Amino acid sequence: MLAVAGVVPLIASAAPPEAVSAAANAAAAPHTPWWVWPLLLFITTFILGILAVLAGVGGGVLFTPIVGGFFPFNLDFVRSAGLIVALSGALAAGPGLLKRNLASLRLALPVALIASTASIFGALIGLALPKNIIQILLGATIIFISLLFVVSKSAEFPKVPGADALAAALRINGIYYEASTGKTVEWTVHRSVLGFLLFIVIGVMAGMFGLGAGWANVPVLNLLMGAPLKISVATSKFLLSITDTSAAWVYLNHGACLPMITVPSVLGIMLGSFVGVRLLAVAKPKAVRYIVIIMLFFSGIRPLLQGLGIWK
Amino acid sequence: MVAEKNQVAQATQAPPEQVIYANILLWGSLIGIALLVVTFVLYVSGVLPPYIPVEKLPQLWGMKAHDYVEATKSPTGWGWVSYLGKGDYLNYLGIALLSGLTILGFFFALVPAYLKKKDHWYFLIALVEVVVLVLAASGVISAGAH
Repeated sequence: MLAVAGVVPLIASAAPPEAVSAAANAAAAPHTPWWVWPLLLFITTFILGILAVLAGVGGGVLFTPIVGGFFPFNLDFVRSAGLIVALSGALAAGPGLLKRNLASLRLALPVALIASTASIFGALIGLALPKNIIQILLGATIIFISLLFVVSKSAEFPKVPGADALAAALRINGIYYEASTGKTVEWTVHRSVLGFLLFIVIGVMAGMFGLGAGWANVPVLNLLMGAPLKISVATSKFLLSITDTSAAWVYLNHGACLPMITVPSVLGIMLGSFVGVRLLAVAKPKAVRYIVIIMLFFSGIRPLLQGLGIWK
Repeated sequence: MVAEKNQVAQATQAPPEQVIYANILLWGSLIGIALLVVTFVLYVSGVLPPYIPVEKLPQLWGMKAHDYVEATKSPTGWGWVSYLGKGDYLNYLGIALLSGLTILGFFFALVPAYLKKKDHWYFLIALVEVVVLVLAASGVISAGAH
């Protein structure tokens, strides 16, 4: 236990920049052996997996800007790997959330159809745009997300006066057991039309940048549509397994998937998440969250400046 | 008290189609991850020679996907299936399984369940989702290149 407690602050404070700077150093060396890259990628994603769990953010949102900014891979391959990373995380978490009825199919399905269709267009746009434009847009989006993490609020049980016509017609409602209060919570949603429209934007961004879209899903489901926080978080996580599937196929079919990048990333982040869950008990999630937000902010600056031709 | 507990348990239980779908994801993703591990070991250990030699990759992975495909004459769409004997493309088995699980789950669990329940809206949503995902997976959708 002591060893674990000692490892947490170390990971939280120093490890990702070390891994990232190791990657940057290796990138600068022209004769770096090929195997250094997948190894560094595995170490980096392992740490990202731990941090993502401790900070309560999706691994995909950290993966794309950090690997895209500090590794020598083209963003096409990184975004493709980012989608598979987010998809694998969602597939790992999805079954448990669905069985406990926290992720709701009734809420997820209509939203997933919209977002997954939009993410195909996002992926096509991403593959067609020049590298520097993608870097600028990705950088700006990541900086925006990091600021969103600072200011965004959540409501555990938002007040919903009643289901709107669309939610009522689709019977988007449910009931779940809230262990903290020992009571069952009945829920429904409102403002469905606006919420559904926003999922078009979310889908496009997910496909275009290869990001998991949990950072956008949760505020829309929770704050706008009024789903309870637990239902929103769980449904959002599960939703990525559908949204990212369609975009992932577009990248796969365009030959934009390199197993040498994708596989170590998926395995690293999954193993990291596994360790992260065990470290949750001894870590200080709030402090880690702020470190991750700062990390995210700076990893957004990198592609932005690269795209603008300021930082090569 | 026991009756009340049972009532709560029943009310909060996930619908059966949700449980079936969850099980498809669970077992599929376990098999997918296991496949990734095994095929990646075969790839990097050189047991199964790859289509693109691993030592050449650092000169190629900085290219845009379109240029990479042209430079290496790599397969696109489902062309990778005929390269499964190559270490790198063998890894596509696990990646494709993970990417295809949602389609399998919708097709085998959700579409029939909503049809049986006569839940017309959700049957339609699930069916259209299958069409969208199959379309994405089929490779008929393509992007312009820069």
